[in-house]
Amino acid sequence: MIVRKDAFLQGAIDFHIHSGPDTHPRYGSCLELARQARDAGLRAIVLKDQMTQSIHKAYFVNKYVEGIQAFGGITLNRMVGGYDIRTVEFACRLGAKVIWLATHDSGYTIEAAKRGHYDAIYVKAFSFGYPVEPLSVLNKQKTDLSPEVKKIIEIIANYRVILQTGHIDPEEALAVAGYCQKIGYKKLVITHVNSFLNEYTDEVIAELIRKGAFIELSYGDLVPRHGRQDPHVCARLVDRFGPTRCILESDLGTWENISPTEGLRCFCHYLVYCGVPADYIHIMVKDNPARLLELS
Amino acid sequence: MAVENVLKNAIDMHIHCAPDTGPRYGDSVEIATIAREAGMRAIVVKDHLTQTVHKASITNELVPGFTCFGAAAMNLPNGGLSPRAAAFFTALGAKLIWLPTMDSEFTWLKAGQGHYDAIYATRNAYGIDYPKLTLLTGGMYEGKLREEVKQIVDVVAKADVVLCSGHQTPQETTALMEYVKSIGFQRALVTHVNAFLEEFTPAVLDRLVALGAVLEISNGVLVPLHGRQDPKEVVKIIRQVGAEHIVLVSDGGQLENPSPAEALRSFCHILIKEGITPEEIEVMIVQNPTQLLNLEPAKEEGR
Repeated sequence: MIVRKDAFLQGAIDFHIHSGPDTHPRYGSCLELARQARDAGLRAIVLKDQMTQSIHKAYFVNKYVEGIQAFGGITLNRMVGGYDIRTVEFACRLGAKVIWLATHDSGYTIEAAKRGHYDAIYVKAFSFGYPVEPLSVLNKQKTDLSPEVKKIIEIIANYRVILQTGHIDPEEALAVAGYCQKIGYKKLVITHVNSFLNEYTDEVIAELIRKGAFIELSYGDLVPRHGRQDPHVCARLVDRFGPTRCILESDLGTWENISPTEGLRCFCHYLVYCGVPADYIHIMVKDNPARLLELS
Repeated sequence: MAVENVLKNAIDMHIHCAPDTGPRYGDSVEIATIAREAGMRAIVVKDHLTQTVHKASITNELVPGFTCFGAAAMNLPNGGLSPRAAAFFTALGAKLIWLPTMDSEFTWLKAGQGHYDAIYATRNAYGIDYPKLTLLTGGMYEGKLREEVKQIVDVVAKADVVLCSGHQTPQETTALMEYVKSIGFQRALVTHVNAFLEEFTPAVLDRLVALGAVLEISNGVLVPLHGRQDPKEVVKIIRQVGAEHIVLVSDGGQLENPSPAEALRSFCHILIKEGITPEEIEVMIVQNPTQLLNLEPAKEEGR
């Protein structure tokens, strides 16, 4: 599917795309989604998988699709050993550019799913019918980050890789942000914070930003079947916290939704309709992700 | 007379490729292209610490007229001995599931004894200490097959893909194959038995074959830098258990070794020089892999 070569997309970066192959149908393979993004003018995409690394996918896009850069990473769910130091070292050496903390296997998501969050369908699908021991970044007493997670953050910082919070709760995110600040690490991103606004209040977000974090806003929460968030909610966050700390991404690639590139394009326009200045959009969809990815 | 086109319709069930954390001969697209040009039908790509289903799928998208299969080895960065992880990999499309390789206690035992696997085990540890895995309740030598291992076998059997034993002791491997036989599963492959012949004695091999397992024999054990096994040892195994119970693989893809296709070609010709018949070779590189992978017989006539 061809996407309009929109001004917002020229040189844009989609920070969060799901692609095939996966265990369920995706909009397209990583090669197909990369070609589409390139043809619409994007300069880079970040590929994300929930249960395994996406570094191989990024490698093949970079080698066999000209004119766009792809970045991969790994999500620290149980399938890759959870908060496992060696897994993170392996992923960084393999070329990870982004590490996500636990998503569907995090205690926060599993609890949110029980309360009826739309993530429930993903939590169930990715359990494959097996019980899942919830992950937390905190130690047993919940007084501090676990030593493994501290070590993981240090490895990530050492490789200059981006740390995404995944689906962890505000208390965990604040602890992670605190540790990042302590060691002088400045590439922490709060993954699609607009998915979790019941718990991630303005006070929490303000504190995370004060500790140096970026916040990611996802189009995935606006789609008709899940989320149905009013784009004014995202526009208000941009207004409240300023564009220099916000990143826009599609979080698409889901079969039933519009394509990731089309989603990112629409997202930009919706925000403009909701009062976000156009030059803010360019900052959030181009400048901020480029700086985090260390692109010129 | 020399056999022409020994690789016609061949399937190499054990190849390493880029991208990986160490240097490789080429990526799966490049290695598949070479294999296709050599007349082969399919390859299986293997990584130790992550799944290769993505690699295989992308390769199939880019290299028409050939099939690349993906796999997963149940080492810790793949979830370890986790039935859920095995269910994920088979749902993703893995065609082979290896039980632990680099993360097995047996690998590290052999490494400590000076086996060349030490190089690979160390390379995949990145200087980090981590717990090692065993298949039995009492470790490497004693006890029953662990419940989670049985569950993994069940997942593999239900998906009807190939179970590979990985790097385990004869005791672990035998217990595994006893369970495989007890549930009537018939796609089990004992990983490169010729790498551990001091443990996998003729009696052990007989027992494994009696349990219905197919034995994998790897050219990787013969390469000049590591192993340097005399091909006569391989001939002995073939003569002992019969070609119908054996699959030959390259286990290649390391930068310093010949391309996997070239390695398999040379392996076959060396064995023919040592007295194995071209018909036996075809059984071991065409018929048995085709059966194990549950593929239709190749359309074109063989050699």
